[in-house]
Amino acid sequence: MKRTTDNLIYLDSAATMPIDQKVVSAMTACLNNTEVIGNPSSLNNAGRNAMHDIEIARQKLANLLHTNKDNLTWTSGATESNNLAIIGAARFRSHLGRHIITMATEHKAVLGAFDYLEKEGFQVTRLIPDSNGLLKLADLKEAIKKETQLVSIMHVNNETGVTQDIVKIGSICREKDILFHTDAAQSIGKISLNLDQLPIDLLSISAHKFYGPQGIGALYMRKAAGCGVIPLHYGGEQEKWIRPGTLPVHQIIGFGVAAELALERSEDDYLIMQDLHKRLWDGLKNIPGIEINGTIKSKYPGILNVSISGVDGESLILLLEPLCVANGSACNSKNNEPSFVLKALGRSDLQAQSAIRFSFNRNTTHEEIDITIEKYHEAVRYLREIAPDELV
Amino acid sequence: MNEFISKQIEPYNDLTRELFTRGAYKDNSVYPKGGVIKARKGSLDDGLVVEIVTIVDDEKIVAAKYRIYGCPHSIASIEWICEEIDGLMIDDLNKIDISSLKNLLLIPIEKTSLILLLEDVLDEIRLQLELK
Repeated sequence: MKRTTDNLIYLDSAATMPIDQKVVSAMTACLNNTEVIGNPSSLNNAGRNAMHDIEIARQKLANLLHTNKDNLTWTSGATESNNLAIIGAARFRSHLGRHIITMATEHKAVLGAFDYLEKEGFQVTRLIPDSNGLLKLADLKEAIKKETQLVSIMHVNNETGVTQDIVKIGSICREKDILFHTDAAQSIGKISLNLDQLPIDLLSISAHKFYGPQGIGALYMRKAAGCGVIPLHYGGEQEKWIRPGTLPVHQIIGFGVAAELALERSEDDYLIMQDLHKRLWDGLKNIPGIEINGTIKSKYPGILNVSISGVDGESLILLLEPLCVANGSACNSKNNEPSFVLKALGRSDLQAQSAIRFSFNRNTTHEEIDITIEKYHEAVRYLREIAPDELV
Repeated sequence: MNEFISKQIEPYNDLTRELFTRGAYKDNSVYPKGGVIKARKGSLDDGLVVEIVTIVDDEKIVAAKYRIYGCPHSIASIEWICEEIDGLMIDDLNKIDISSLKNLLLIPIEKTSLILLLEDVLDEIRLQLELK
């Protein structure tokens, strides 16, 4: 039996955003459209029609990113994009050097790719951020060697919302002729980026993080000498041999519509996120022992991550039902380990274990935030009532 | 089949949820007349601290209360234990089968240390009762 979703308040939008109904309509129309039933790689009319719609969607995504659509490769999501960018680019440039740099607070899709390359013989530097979650640029400069070929630093952190200065990081890399990749799964569609004017070589995108469908993403790759990837998969000429496999037409069309909507709405949405973040934090900040994880000065306001003393995070989450919130990243929350991201910020095991991530979307209401505040207060009160005295 | 899948996905069964929020035996520092026996195990570093206070009068446990810091399974477990031992004659304390909680509350295998710690708490109470 599934748990009821009555009165559900969804504050886990950093894990996945609720899909926009305009996206659903476009995808449904595509699935019902007998003119685009073909395999987009086929040269018959049905296939060409499908490819036409795919290229329209690619243009919509390119418009959002302010770049040429030929710089975009469809993937299954940001995890695949990160793997393709990091493993593919490191191998592409391995004849020039085998040192690569990332940060300890990256998404596991990035850290996993670096771990894999390390086993392949690459030398890996994992930089530790400051206690606010920000990369220290001096540390990056110091870590760069003449063998360094790739730096991967995420834009918006998926657990804390902390936003790195990718312009400065990219500029440092560009000066040294090092490829710069950023995992922008949490920022694309929410924060405007002009990729043709930014010092970014590779960038990972996921549709379901901004009201699009799950299972589809893209990799941006700048067209420039020395910038490239060696494919991870073989057996087809789709996506210019970089990413073979039949393209999922309806998902790509949905992705295109999500990109189109983001271009129209992202500035307004950002203001909505700021308002929701302020309302929630204002309602929580007076609870004794509560603290925000990550700097408030450089962060995407759609994410608020807080820790609280004397309270177990797993129990807190259950008491907060029917709120849907997260303890750490969705990709990391089943193993009961304290968040490695928060640990890297210097949080203790207990602080990290009590952390809750609230993440909003454009449909989140003030009423939902107020209920969240009330439930959080109640939950903390209960858990502190039953806790041994010295922990409270 | 659906039920099987639900059990795989759902971390807490209905009994766990009920006991977790009930709080009927939480220690409110109001005790009936009798001798107080307190047992405490665990550490914050391990993410679990369990404290049981039993009030014993005339060979009978007349009250059982707890304080706890821990996960929902641990809170539900301690609520169950206190309910079980409240009103027991001290000679019957051995009849409490902590290991049955594994099935009752569907405690996952990675939380087996919880069961061991709860057994330690009960053993401590038994030991103190014997020494009295």
